[in-house]
Amino acid sequence: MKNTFLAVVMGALLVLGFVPTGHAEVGVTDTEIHIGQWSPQTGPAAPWGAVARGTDAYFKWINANGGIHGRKLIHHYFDDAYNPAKTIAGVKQLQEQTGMFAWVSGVGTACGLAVKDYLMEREIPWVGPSAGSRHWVTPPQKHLFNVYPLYLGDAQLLTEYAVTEMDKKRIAVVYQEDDYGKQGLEGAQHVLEQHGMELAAKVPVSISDTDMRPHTMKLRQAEADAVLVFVTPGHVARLLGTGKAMNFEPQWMSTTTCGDFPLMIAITKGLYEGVITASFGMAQPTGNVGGIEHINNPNHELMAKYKTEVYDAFAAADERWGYTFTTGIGLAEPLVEAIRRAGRDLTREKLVAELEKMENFQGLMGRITYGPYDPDDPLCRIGQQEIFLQQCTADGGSKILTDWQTTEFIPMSQ
Amino acid sequence: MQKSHTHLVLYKTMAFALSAFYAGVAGGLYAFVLRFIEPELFNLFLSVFFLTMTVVGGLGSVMGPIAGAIVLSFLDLQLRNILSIPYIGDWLRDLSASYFSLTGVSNIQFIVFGSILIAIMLFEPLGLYGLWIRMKKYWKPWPF
Amino acid sequence: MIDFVQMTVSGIAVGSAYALMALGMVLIYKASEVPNFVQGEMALLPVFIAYMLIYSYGQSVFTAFVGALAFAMFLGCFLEFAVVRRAKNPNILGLIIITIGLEMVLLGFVSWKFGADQRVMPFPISSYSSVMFGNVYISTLDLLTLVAALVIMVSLFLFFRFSRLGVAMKATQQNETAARLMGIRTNRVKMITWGISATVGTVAGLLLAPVFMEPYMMWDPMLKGFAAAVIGGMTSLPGAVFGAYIVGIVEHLFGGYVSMEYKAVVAFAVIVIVLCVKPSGLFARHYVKKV
Repeated sequence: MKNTFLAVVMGALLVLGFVPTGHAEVGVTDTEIHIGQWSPQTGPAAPWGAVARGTDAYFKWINANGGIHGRKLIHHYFDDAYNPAKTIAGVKQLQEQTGMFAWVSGVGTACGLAVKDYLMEREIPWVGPSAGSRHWVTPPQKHLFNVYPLYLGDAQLLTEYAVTEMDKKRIAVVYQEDDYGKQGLEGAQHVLEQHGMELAAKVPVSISDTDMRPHTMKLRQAEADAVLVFVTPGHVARLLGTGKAMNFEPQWMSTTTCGDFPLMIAITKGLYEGVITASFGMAQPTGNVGGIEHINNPNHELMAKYKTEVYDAFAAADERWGYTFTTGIGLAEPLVEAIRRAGRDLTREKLVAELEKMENFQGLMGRITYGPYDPDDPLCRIGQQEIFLQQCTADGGSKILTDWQTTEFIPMSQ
Repeated sequence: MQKSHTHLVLYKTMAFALSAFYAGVAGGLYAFVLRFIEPELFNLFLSVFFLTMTVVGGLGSVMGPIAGAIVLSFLDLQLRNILSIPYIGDWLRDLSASYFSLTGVSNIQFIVFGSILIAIMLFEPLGLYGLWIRMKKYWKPWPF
Repeated sequence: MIDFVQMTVSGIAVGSAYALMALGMVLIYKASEVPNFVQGEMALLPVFIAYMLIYSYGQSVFTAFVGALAFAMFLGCFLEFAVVRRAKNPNILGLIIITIGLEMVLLGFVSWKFGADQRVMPFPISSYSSVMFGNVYISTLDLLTLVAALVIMVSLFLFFRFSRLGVAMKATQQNETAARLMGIRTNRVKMITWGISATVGTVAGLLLAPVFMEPYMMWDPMLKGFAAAVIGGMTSLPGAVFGAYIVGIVEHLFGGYVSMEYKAVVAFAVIVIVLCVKPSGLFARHYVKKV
């Protein structure tokens, strides 16, 4: 009796869930190229869902302009709610049923790591994971091409700037307890060691923390005058607010993920003014150091072009024009360029070959360079290593503080 | 006189330990499925989810929670495809564009999931296993 | 010494928000005997309605907040009437699953309607202004939350003691059959209890919104409120408030003096210890279970 019940349930679900797989397609037909992406459209990480929507609008724009060598880019993005179990389920389903030619972007280190082995074993190219994690290049994989500059570089450049340009003596780090935060801690410590200094305080933050008072109190006790913050934008906003209420106002510095100045100014009600963050693109610092940029009125040619042609034409009505949206475009550009260069006769091997030949390709982001595959050299798949620093102005604009700086790669200690 | 209370504690502890054993095995297997493990994956929501699977499947029977786990995991993973259903998907998208936000349209899966949970618990407090028992009792005297 | 005082003060400040959530949960537990997992979302929806009233309909902050509280009352009553009451032969786990289902539905609606971006709720008191006692800071908003928690606790106490409806609610909680026999409409009483609980939760939500407002904002306060209610004994209102302050203060003291990584851990460890020592919570009074 009991076994029949279980058998019935499982049988029903096998029938419902079973779809004939057929042979795994390469994802390219005469008229279509299938590209996949996972994205947190729901859940606490939902603000990052704009990345996939940015890529989607970008692909729609490309298709409206004739596609690539007569083929349209079909973008399959699904919601994984930042849950690696759902990511791997969705990737498997898309890969085995529809068959993806390649995967682009994809928010989340944990989510990406869950599918990395699956994709690499099947030699499926994956370009531009939307997280600056060292896991993508340790060890470098033949088919995984990183674009997002590592968070380590953010920490190094920010600390260097604080010590040399701003003459700060007591540097503290507030970090999330995961790969993102720990890279920040390591980068800051590495640079401080070179200057013979030490961290004034290291304050860990748990992702589910909503109350920032203990952390701010710790920082105030340590009398930090510059604080590097490696947490989510929500936490940064609360840290700044609590700090202001406690009359603790050091130089706050943060990473590319908290660099969406219009949004941050809005949620901190103007308190974000003066915060320095790292940035990986969307503006051109060369020859413009000291200039002011604003995302709503971009001086960068491509940004202005994308704003009118991609965002105004193809984005949803309630989509916000912001850095998350444009990151989706920036991370997809190298893949699109490589597909273009591969020509009409498109295979995965040719795509990889074209990506390896890419040198100093620049779209919205910085210069991206790959090299022939070498399992001992992470730099052959690291993509972009340069970032620049910007400072928030009162109306959500960015004051460019430095030119492009290339940061040193510190291998991950296993 | 029987000292039954001592045995009670013993059996309760054994039951707890046995369930912890199964949970441990599950966690270990999870690591193999995901090929990646970190503490943040095991949050409170997951515990609540397990409770839901057990209750929806049917407490008090061994097959109940298994059925609950299968059904709820299936729903969890497949509901995001709700937008690909031919007519309903487009209607939902239009509805989103006019009254709700299009960017948040994937949240419909939560509404559907929650409604299914409520529906199952309202109509059959004993869960899926209870439904099965009821169906069997109904069909037992067939064709009278 | 200053740091100790500062940490205690901050702990009390954060405990007030948890106290409001805990009060709501205890109210519903006493009435419907179910730990209410939809407490957070019952507060979330009115908060977002207030936001909508301010921004889309141009109402003033005061009108919007009053409107939100009225909506919360209606929402609580509606949820009890339409869903919770319909459960046949409810056992406690079934009811918990129903509340979890309701939570997902409400959260889904709010996320669907408003999108995931963080929002800013205008509030007459800036969340950055603070009051200074010597070297110790407490933000004005925290002070307001503390006052609100105490005012609500006192008014609930007076309500239960002296008003007819309050006494009727106490009667329903103690022995439902007897209350029915005495002519109290227990269904209506339970409905109103849910409404009051939702309103109390919304006060907490409105006070939290100026600092941090996004669809998932109520998960953490609800969890801590639940923990606080459990510590205090799920049937005791002052116990819930006491438990909330204990959780807040212990968390802050531990985080400041011992270790930041484990501060959430220690708060829950305290709960486990309290429950081992006194299984029904610190202030629980046992009512004779109806057979």
